[in-house]
Amino acid sequence: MTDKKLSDLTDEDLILDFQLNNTIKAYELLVQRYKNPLINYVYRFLGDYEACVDIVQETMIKVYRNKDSYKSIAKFSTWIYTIAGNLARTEYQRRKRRNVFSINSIREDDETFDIPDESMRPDVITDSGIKNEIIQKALLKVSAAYREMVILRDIQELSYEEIAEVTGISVGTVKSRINRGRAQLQKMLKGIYKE
Amino acid sequence: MKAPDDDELRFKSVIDILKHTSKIDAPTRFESDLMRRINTLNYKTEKVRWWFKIITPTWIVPSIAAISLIIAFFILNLNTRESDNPFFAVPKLRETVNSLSFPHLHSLSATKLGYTAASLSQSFVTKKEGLNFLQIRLSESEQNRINKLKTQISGYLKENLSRNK
Repeated sequence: MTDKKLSDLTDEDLILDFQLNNTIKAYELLVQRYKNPLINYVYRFLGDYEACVDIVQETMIKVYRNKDSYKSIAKFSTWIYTIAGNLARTEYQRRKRRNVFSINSIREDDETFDIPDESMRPDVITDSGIKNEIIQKALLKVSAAYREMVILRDIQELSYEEIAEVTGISVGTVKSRINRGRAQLQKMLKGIYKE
Repeated sequence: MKAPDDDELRFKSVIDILKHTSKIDAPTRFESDLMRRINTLNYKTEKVRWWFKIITPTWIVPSIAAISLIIAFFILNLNTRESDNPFFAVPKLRETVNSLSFPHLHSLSATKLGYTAASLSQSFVTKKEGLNFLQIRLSESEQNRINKLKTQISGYLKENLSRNK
């Protein structure tokens, strides 16, 4: 199979090719397709770039080593997001135990806090870099369980069903968690957007 | 494109912000680092397999375990005190009991006293009441000789005592 033809294949076809023929090129194409979406997902969840790169690499290694455990009944994207999500959650728990997060204590309840930062004022917010930083800080303040859902839905643009599959919870719970997360964010980011 | 639901309309502004956040890219060396890590892993697993194939065939591990178990059993057994089985134990003879309790009497051997092996074997009678003891039946002349010897010994002892005084 030529390179051009490989690049035309779907993710599922590529992983199948990698499973059956051990085509490294197919694997490399999958890495190329998913490295940035996964980096985005894990970075938005953890807020640490180095750790996030490490987790995404670990995810790719798991795909490489456990390629045979993928069953074609599932979408490849859900499978790889599940692996990355599990690794990210484990890292998050580890960090929580060690109290590495210094931004604030992350709570599972609905309590949220406004960022007491002057840069939050709309007249001050001009630079997109600062804006992104504020959004990231606000995201990290959202409860971890809601944050993951919001990232998957509103940044990664996965469907509710896909998110339910990735996280292993029901669609109803996914929807309610997303809305709770969005509500928390809305409170924190009200200075950023014009209502 | 799917129409937004009520919740999506309610949080439209937040959703818009999140959708337009800048995308984070993987580092440029991401793929090269990944392939290096994969190759290192492959090398490690291959090395282990090679060792296992050459040095440790499947039967070696259980056989080593069995041998070490046997050795351990013997070592432990040497250290433990064997308890005598009363059914197999040889009963102690009066002679041995006497020799252990009164070692000075043991020095007086049977030959010194004038017994022959034949006379001893004939006079060894075991009775039902005392299976653990040997009884010696002596003839009259033998008893006389013993009495003589006794008087001789007591005489020697008395002499020794008077000399020491």
